[in-house]
Amino acid sequence: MIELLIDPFATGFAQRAALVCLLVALLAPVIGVWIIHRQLSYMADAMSHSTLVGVALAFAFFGRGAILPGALIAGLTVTLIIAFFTQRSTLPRDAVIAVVATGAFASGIIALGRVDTSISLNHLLFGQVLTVTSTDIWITVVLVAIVIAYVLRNFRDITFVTLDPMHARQVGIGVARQNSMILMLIAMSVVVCISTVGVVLTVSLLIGPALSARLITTTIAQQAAVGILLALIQVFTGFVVSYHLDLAPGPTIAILSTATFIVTYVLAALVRAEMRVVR
Amino acid sequence: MPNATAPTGESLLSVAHLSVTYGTVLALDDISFAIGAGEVVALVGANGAGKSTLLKALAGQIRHTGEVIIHGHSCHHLDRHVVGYIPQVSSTNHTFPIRVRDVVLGGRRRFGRMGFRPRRADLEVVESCLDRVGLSDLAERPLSQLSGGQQQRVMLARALAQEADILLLDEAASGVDEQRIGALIEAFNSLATQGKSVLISSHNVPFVKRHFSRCIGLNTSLLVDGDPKEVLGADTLEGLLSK
Repeated sequence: MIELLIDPFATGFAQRAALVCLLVALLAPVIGVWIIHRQLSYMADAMSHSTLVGVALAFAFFGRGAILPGALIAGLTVTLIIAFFTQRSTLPRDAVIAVVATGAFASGIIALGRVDTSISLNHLLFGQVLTVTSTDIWITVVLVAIVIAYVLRNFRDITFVTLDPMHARQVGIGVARQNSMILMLIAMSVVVCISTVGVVLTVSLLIGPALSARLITTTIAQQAAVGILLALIQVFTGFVVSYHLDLAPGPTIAILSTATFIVTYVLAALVRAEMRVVR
Repeated sequence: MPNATAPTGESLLSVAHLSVTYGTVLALDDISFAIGAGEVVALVGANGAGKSTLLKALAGQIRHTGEVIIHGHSCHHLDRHVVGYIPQVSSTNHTFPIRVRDVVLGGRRRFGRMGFRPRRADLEVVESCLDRVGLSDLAERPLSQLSGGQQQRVMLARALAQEADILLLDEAASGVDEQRIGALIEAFNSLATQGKSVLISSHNVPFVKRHFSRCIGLNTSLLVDGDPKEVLGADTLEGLLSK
């Protein structure tokens, strides 16, 4: 039984992958709770799709090691473009996101087709956790540290801005600055998640564990903590299951994320019904 | 129960020729009045008369012409900390997972810096404010589990915790039952004795006549200013409440 759990981590590249999974599981719910409560899920999805063009161009000009920085720049650029169009018009934000992100994603696919690369489109779309390099790990460690440190340091201010921006402004919090920082942190988190579950499935890891945790918690800190626990279970279970069943790790983790949400939802509903009966 | 108090003489808030337009619509036209330190004033008018717009302008939330002077400084240059504002349509995310006590703690943020860490004194003020609005027993409850009236009282407790010099309350009493109204008015009077001023909007004329000694009547422009029992007669009410 123990071998079933240990075998997938026997090789060096699998151990590197496990380390990335651990970092991603720590990070995703910490930023995911804010994505959910600020209704930025679609924005996060758009950012992750947009990174593809950055990945392709970074690889073409600077090689394999520039992929994650390229993704980060592309994600931030698309965020700025979306902000430009939505802040200067009354256009619905989701519609602007749809148009801009689709264009960026399509550009990425075309760019990738033109670039002579050893990386397959499937790896980028659905994850490449088994191919992460030491450079990727260091970039991931730095990004995870930045995001978690910022959130911990500014936890109450982010809470107050998310709860009531008008009041937050009155008590001296730089609301616009906090909003911009949150978008930057989401872009960093997207880049971190890409290596594990890929461009298409990143949003499931960012949001899934945090959303499941929301069903069984009452404060934002509890939600993030339970989300981390669920994310850890999901990524490592996904990693082990995909190894033994010869499945792609990224989609396996994403499916587990969705399954966890459905199971948690049903269990939470049953507990609520039980409590009503007891009362 | 004592009525809301009279001014101490010193003018805390002065408004001169204030106007607000939304596009081509004139929402407020040439409003001028003053409120003294320690004064509790009702702002009366029909729905759409401009009460909320006036409070937003005073809180610095919307653009306006004319001048708003608080503590002798123009509002545009003012540290907004001295103004506590509870809007009628709150920007609060009521589904956000947060305990009542932590919401009220938001009022103490003005006393902290970036990376706000509340001190014991902040927590004591929060407990006191919760007690004043009758929510001590719900302090640990998630905000989302409270009724509309209770949520309104949480916002009031947060404004009290802010220790603002001027409280602007937009229909703050509308979701509050009769029993709690008395406690609210008592809280306003207590603030007034500390030199704070309160401006609370309401479309409920009997409520204003019962609890306030001064009201400002608004219908795009300022129509009346004085003791509600004297200025809210049948003739003026028609002009105030027609839209």
